[in-house]
Amino acid sequence: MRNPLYKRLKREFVHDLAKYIVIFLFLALPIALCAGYMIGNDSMIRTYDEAIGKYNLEDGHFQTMFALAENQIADIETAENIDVSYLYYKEEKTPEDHAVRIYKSSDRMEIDKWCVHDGKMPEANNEVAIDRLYAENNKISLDDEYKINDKTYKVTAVISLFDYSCLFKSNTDTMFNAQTFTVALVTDEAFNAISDDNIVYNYAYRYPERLGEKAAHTKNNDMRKNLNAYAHENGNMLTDYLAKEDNQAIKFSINDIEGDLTMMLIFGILIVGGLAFVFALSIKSQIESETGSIGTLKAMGYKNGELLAHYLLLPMLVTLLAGIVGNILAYTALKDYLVGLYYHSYSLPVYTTYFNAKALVFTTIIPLALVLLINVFILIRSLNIPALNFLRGNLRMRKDKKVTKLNEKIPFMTRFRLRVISQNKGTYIALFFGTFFACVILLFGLMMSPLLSHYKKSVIASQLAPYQTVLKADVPVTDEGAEKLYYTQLSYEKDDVIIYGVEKSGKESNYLKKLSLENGKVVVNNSLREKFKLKQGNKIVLSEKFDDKNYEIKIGGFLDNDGSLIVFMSAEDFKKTFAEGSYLVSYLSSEKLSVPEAFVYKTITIDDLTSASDQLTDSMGDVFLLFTIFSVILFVLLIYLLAKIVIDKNAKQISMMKILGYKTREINRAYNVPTGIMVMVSLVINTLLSQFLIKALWDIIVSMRMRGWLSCYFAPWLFPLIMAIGFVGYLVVYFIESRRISKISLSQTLKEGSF
Amino acid sequence: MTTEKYGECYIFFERQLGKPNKNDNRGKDMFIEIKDIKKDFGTGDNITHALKNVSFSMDKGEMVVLLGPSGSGKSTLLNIIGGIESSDSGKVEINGEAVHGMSEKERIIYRRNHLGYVFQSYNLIPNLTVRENIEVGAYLSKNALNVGELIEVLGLKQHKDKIPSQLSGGQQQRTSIGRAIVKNPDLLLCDEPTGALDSDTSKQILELIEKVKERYGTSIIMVTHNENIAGMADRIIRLKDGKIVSDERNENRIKAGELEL
Repeated sequence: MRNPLYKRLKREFVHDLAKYIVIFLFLALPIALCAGYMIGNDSMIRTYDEAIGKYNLEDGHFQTMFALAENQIADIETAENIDVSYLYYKEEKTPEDHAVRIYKSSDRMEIDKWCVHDGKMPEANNEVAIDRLYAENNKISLDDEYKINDKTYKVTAVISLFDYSCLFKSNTDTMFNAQTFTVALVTDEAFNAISDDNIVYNYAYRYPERLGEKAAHTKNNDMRKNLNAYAHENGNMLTDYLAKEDNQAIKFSINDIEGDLTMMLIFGILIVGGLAFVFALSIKSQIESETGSIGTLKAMGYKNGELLAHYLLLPMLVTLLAGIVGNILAYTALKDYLVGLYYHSYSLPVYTTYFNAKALVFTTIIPLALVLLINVFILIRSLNIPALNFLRGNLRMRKDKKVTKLNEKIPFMTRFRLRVISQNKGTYIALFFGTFFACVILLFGLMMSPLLSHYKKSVIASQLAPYQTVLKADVPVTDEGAEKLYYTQLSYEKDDVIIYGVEKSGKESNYLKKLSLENGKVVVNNSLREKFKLKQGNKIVLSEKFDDKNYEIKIGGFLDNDGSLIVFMSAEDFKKTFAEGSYLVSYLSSEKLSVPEAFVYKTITIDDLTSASDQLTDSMGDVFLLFTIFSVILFVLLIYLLAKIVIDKNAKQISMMKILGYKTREINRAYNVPTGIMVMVSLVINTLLSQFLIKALWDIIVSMRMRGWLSCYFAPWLFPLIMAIGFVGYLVVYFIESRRISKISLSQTLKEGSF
Repeated sequence: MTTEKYGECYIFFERQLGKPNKNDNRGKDMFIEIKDIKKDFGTGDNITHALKNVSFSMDKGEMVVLLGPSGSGKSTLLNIIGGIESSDSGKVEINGEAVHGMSEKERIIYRRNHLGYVFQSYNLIPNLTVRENIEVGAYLSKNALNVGELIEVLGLKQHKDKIPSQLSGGQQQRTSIGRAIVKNPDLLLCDEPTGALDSDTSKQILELIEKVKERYGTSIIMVTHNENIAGMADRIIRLKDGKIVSDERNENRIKAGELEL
């Protein structure tokens, strides 16, 4: 015969509908998010993998100061056993000062092929295809006019290039930039018609067969050195060498997608685990209110297992339903929304959705297993008490257990609240952890906008000079006030570090007044110091990017300067350290340098420095908002659920207090205020703890996943704001629970706990 | 526990409240008037007529026992007098105040100022100590008795820091009585106060209730199904199937300590 207790499940469900709806939503939403992420990410990762072959992705590229002759390319191909393709580009500007990297579409027929999202590829000389995301960000549509330099083009296609799945203008940039930087494809004639002033001699290569990560690393390492040596021998200079694996424009998006998935799964497990705990607390409080009936059933011969199964069935059904609904939501509404978030950040090719059995299992079986395990673990102890104790309503196993004595001088109501807090320790521990979780998400959601503004301000304040121009050759510069810096780039732990050899610093300089340099002393900027936690006197070893040469430097001081990672040394030291020909010359000036464009290697402007924060604000703005909204909802629902457990557990006592003549206001003070106190205490502690956690995670993530450095900054108003949000959230719950208290019937106290 | 204990009890009450006031009207005026109370539970074919036109009155300081078998409506009547339940019709007036016409808020104030409750199942707050449970009652009154001394009188001094689950049934009921009388109520409502206790403990509890009545002139309505307990009442009202079947003054009233339980 079926367990007759199951018949009350429907009544129980209807009776506590609000609780089950809240828990269902709590479960279904993270499950949907996790499943959506898993489906979307997996589909994108598979699309990405397939795209490597489909679009003939390069294995790497290199750039030289001057064009290589055909026979030189043939030499390299033979020596390195690679296929080299011309992929020259010209870096031009729009009237809005956006950077446009223009390629010949014909160069991309065999390697780094394009993916057309809409329109058709340029056929006429006044036609251009531009990046889909850049077009979207700048509201450029097909057939719109698009001006590059002084020439007007018609946009005939929006495309994505797989080697620019993330629009990094330079691999050393802290962040990609799909706002003011785009790639563009034009016809051969259109390309040739553009001046060669800003041409970059760029060559993409592919290995005859796909190499494993380790083999590719060794091969790339050798080739880098060989190419560098070859360029030198032939009077040329290797200005860039970038293997696919190190290319942020190629790898950043996929790393981000994979990393997000891990984070999302951890987030999902934490939420479901936390809810399973809340479920268990809620059932435990139900068991405590039904002692008489449970005692009778146990006395009749019902086994603990049967009672446990009865109490577990509803949570399991709700979890299963949440898993199913979550997965349906994931495949319908959420997947495209979540994938859309990526498409709003990255220039990815068109993707296909694949059914994901792993996601289905992970988002249904794991939540069920978690709910089952945590509930069994907690409830088995509650049910393992003898029938007589249940019949007597005494679930405390140890009679001799010491009761904490409270000083009688403490006002009665304060002692009452302390007893309520002590009675609901488990609930408040869950509240503490839940609030911690909500605080972390809330702080993260709220902190980013002020952090990016702060970063932007400090980067602007850190700009060395209004204009900074790096030249291809040491040509004479006569501009008044221009100050010479020697410039090279080295590597430190996978990061690019700029080394400046400074001729004038301190009082002598118009721009580097705060920099105090002398021969033999090396100063590093704030970003480099923070990223690698450097201290004065530390020695670090910097390496040549394209060679095995290493340079050990001892840190003699710091400069308060944010943005790129920079090492300053005196010009004399610089020239002693680096061989002539291995570095470039750069100038700081207040006006644009009057040097012919052909000699300019690059100009560092304020936009280059602030593009990271602009891009992050744009691409992550929706995510920050989502985080903020989610955490506030999470916070309020969590307080609601736990405050409800406290009230439900004490319903009979509350009823008795009403009979005695306590007013609702007074009962609120006794039973709801302790929850408020615990909410505020948890908030204060957790806001501080979450600050530490975010700072630690931030340093790790930014160190691992970002070039350069973005300091973790908490605006001072964030903490009062979180307190205020928490307090308002608590007030909402206080109001709801206050109504519940006012509705508790007086006759509740007259009933024995029964089903 | 007995006489000695109740001697202490007497001294304690005298100290707390002073000597009996000659002008105290308690026990002289009509205090409660109940008229034509009707109460039904359920609807249609499942309707139960719990109370059918019940009427009676009671003087201040009187101890009335509502006696009857299960289902006779005695607890329902007690709950209506206590403002826990409302009647379908009829009126309940206490000291001239119409309880039946009160809003929920007014009933709270009414219970707070005038009533003390003792239940069969004690209904103590499980996470509060004995002392704190009694303080739950004291908190409601501006003229509460001294809690520490009351605890001593109730014989709970060594248990004052225990929680209810660490007490025997009698100790729990004494705590419950302490909570009810600490605020010095006009009317003490007792619903089967000894229903869950053995006979010795029951007698002690009844003696305690009797002393409270004697010393304070507190009016008491006690619900019981035990004929023997009725012997200590001033009046015995018998109920059966929702009706009063007899309402008699108890001419052979005996002391609680002499009851045969």
